[in-house]
Amino acid sequence: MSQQSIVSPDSKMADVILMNYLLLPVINRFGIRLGFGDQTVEQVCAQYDVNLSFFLDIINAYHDESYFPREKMRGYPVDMIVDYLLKTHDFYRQKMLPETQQLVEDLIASCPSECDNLNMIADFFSIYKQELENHLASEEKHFFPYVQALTKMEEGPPSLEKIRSYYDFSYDNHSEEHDNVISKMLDLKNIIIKYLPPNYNTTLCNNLLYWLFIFEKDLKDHERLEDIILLPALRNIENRLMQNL
Amino acid sequence: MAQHIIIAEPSYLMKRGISAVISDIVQAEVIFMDELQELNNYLETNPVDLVFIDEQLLSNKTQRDLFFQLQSEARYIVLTNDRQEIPARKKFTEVISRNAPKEKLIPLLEKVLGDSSVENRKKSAILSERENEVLKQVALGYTNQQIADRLFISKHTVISHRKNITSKLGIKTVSGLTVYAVLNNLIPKDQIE
Repeated sequence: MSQQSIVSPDSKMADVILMNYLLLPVINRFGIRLGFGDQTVEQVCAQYDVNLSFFLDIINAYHDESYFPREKMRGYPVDMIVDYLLKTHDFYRQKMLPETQQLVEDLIASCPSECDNLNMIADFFSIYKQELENHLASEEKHFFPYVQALTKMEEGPPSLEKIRSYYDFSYDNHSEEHDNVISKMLDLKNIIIKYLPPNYNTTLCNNLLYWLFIFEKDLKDHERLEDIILLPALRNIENRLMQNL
Repeated sequence: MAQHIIIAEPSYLMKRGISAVISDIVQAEVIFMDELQELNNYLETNPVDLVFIDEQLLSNKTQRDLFFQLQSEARYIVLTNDRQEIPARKKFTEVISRNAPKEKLIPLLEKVLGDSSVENRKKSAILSERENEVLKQVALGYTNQQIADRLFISKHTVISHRKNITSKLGIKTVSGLTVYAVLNNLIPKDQIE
């Protein structure tokens, strides 16, 4: 399968990983683990009780950046999307951030002398880590509950009071924060590639960089899902609620 | 350095085709977009070398007006059907017909891609003395207005220096610029918070 291949219900799950190993953590996020044998994507999804069509869209969009079926994806229940985003948050908190932190620490520990400059990079990362954690926590505290509350409100009779009580979410800040999260990751990569002081350990530094590339790709995909699918869905619900008042 | 190129085009076939032709000519980091709104948001904050835009995307008036008002260093190629009137023709570096034959298309793209990188156009990626001054002030934590006052220049000039710094260094955030300034001994480490 090539870059243009599209994963279909009867693709072998093992072939999907062989085609693009970066999909592994994405597949894990659905609770799916290795040992597929010769099962197809459809069979594995059934076994793990995963929505096949949603799974395929997520995987295909992640694999091929020029493919993003927005109209179809905007049709998925908001809860399903939020659930996937929450699992991604867990993955960042439990896996990506601690691993990256460890790689940064290993790099610093390998520095023989005059490590001030390397320490600058470590400081940059630890501030970034804190900011990303805050951003994830804030989405979980304000953004997702707001989305879910609005969805529930659509089921019952709408009331202006109820809508106002949730109306403290700011779209502007939200996309600004996303911008910041991605920009800092790019800056960190660029600083390491272009301006790293020479007294570093090559292997450890390359490990860190590989990891940052994977992290960045995942963050971009995550951001795309929120900004292009979830936010417009949210605006649609808001508009419908306002019209029905 | 790889050029930053955006392909704003709703058709998958076209997107893939344009991207394949580009990769035959230069090394580029390509971003795909389907909607003009997405493009506008992106261009507001990110340095881009070149944008391919399908004239179909210019049909929404609100977004189109926004697009024409945007100040970006990017160059634009608009893709059209033949005999289509293109609004604000001078915004675009080139107008290319979807039906253009290879012998016309390739030399034209080579010309645009060859000198479209912001870096090439500036001749040098080294910061000027003035840009270094501005960078120091940014790293020390001053706002655009404070920097303007301290260096006796207009706020607009500060913003334009900052854009150039970002496109030359590939670093965008204040904290990233601060790390760069310290690593290059522009400011001592103990001067930052």
